[in-house]
Amino acid sequence: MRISVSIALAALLSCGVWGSDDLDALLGEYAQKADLSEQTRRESAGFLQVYTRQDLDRMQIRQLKELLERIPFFRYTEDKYGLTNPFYEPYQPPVPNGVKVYINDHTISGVFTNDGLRVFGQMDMSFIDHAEIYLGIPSQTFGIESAYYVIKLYTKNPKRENTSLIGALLGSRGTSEVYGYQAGVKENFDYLAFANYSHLNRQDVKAPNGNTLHRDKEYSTGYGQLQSGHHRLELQVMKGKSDAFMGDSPDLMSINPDFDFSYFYGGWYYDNPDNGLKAFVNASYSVSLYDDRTEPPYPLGFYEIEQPPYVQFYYEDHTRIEEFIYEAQLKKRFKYGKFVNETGLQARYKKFNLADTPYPSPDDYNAQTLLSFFSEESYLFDDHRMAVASIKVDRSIENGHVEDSTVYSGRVGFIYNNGNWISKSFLMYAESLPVMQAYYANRYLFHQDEDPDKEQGAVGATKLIYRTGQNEISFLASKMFRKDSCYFFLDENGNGKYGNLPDTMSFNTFMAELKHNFSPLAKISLNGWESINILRNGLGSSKTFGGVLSWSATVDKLDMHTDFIYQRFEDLKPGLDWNMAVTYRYSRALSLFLKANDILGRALKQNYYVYNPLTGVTTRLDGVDVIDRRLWVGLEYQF
Amino acid sequence: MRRLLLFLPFLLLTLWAATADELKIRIMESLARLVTHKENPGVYIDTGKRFDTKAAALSKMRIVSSCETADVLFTENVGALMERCRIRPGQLVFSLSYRDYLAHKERTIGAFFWQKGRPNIILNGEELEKERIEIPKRYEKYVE
Repeated sequence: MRISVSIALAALLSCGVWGSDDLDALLGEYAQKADLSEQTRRESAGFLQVYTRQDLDRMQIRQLKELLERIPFFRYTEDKYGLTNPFYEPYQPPVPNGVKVYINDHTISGVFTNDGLRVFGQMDMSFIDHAEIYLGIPSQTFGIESAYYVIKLYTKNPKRENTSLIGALLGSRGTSEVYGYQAGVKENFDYLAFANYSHLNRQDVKAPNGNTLHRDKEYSTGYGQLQSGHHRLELQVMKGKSDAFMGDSPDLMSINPDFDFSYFYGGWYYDNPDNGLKAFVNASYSVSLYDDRTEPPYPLGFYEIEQPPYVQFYYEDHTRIEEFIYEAQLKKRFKYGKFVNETGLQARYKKFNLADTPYPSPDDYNAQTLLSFFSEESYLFDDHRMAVASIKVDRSIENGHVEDSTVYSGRVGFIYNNGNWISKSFLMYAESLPVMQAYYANRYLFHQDEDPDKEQGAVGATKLIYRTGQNEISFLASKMFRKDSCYFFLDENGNGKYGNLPDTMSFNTFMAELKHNFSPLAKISLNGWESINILRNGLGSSKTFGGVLSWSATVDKLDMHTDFIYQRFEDLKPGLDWNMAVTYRYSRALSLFLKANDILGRALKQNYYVYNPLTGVTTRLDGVDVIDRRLWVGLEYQF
Repeated sequence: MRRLLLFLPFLLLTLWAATADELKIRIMESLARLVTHKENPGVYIDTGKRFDTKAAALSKMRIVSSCETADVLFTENVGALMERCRIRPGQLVFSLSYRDYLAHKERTIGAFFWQKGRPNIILNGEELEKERIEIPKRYEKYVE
């Protein structure tokens, strides 16, 4: 045993330092130092976690959802439709400002639920170069609608790719994927064209009542980017079919519910670093067709009517929802003396159309116009100290009878950096409005006259980092308050209602992190975090813990990565997710992959329940795997 | 061995302190030494004035301003370089673009370029043989 431990330790150390010669080490270090994240990361924008190109390649991150479970304080979960929804709680409204995902400067957002992750959680990441994750109400200059977490994904740079490649993967349970991209420079144009098809077969779930619930997904994606000088055009098309897992039956009796969806996006972007001017205009359109049915005596749903029997049951649902988003932004960076200012204006118009619903669906509330002004001022005292302050005002103009609102957010911070010691401290405040679905459901499904009010969040946080040549150790502490959170509860007549929680909730969070680079080609990191959640409002307090141990290295033609993700949440069995990925670069043209997710089958699970208010019966579905246990093999060939 | 153990942490520390441009220059420096077997080869860098000036300031290489006097030439456009300079026998050309390298393979000793998000090195086996340049075994993996 001692011998095997010694060998493992020797391998761990040797693969990085002693296995490489100087040209290898120089190339590895050059790849890191020239990584595009070095150009895009904004340390002053918040507490930042970066996954470089090298990291994503070694980890073989194939879907955005694989990154989510690695984010501190975050829990990967899926909603009752089997779609990515990190803040899902049965019957609760979508959290309006939980997480925002950007691809370059474009926000991935839904209209009805304000959440792009439900569709984009499964998005193939092969055209993404690197990812930045900002924690805790980051900079207001990201634009309209603040969020506690901002995930910025940057597409591959054609100048760094210069290749045409195809790849294919096979996974357990009949999962398969093919993808390919071409990227390069032609005369004055940089171009990137990407396409993929994936068929993700997932384990069925057997409900306690014998119903079999499916969660398979089929996706096709196309992404194109054309850049010349300061101008960039982006296009994206996504089509898919997804089993809708539990569906809408309040008795868990939905028969093979599913979604068919299509998403189209196009945008023009302008970025001139010389004069600090940035602008964009973009538009997206999506359409989803939802099919669900049950057999009598189990209705799929019901709605109230005015004459006897006062309740109308329905057994089929073929709802079609269309969503439109039009967006424009103008942002300018000014520099004068030791001050740098970034000020911008943004407008976003969102509209949805519901059709073929099995219940009456009025359409007098279906559009929202958001106007935003934001400004950030930073002052550099000297080479080591910087202060930053930002403010944002969002005006929301609603149609129908929903009241217009104005919400504010702001942030002040101080950063110290002497090369070895770095400290970052921020005070942040943000207001956010309920999502359109909450307004709509409250009015037309719950028949309530009052709309839920805006929510307020405030965070104070500090992080201390000590860096030497090869080591980094850091400690983060924060306190967050959430007031007037939008919540579902029963009113005095026993009717459902979206309203605001009366008590302020608080969250104390701590995180320690240790990183060590054995060499430019090998590193290990360990983090551990705790969140003490004081929920009040008749809800008990809870503590959650988590941590990630991760190791990756390049040895000659092998890229290797492994990580252990531990998470403990209230009311759930602790989860330990062990992942491993090995890439063998047979030649510069051909690479072979092997990847295993949730090797132990002990990743964090999710509990669900449905409630039938007419029968008073609750049906539970506990311990559902939301992180798939899967083995992948694949290859990639460059022309 | 003990000397090697003492030296490596120093090498790594110096690597960690370097910037991307410095590292790029050091890789070019290593390649120039590798193919010339000279301690201080004359290097001509044809990549745009800003980088050339930076390289001259940062490098311990002997950066030359004329292609005539260089032992090794780095360029993003071999064709244009050939038109501008008369390359004499013994002068070695590295391309800094894969596409350019493929187009002028018979006239380049190798390439140093970005592809698939990684920096890559190719040493042209046929040219190495023609020029009778021997490469240490540990660098043979770069020979194509």
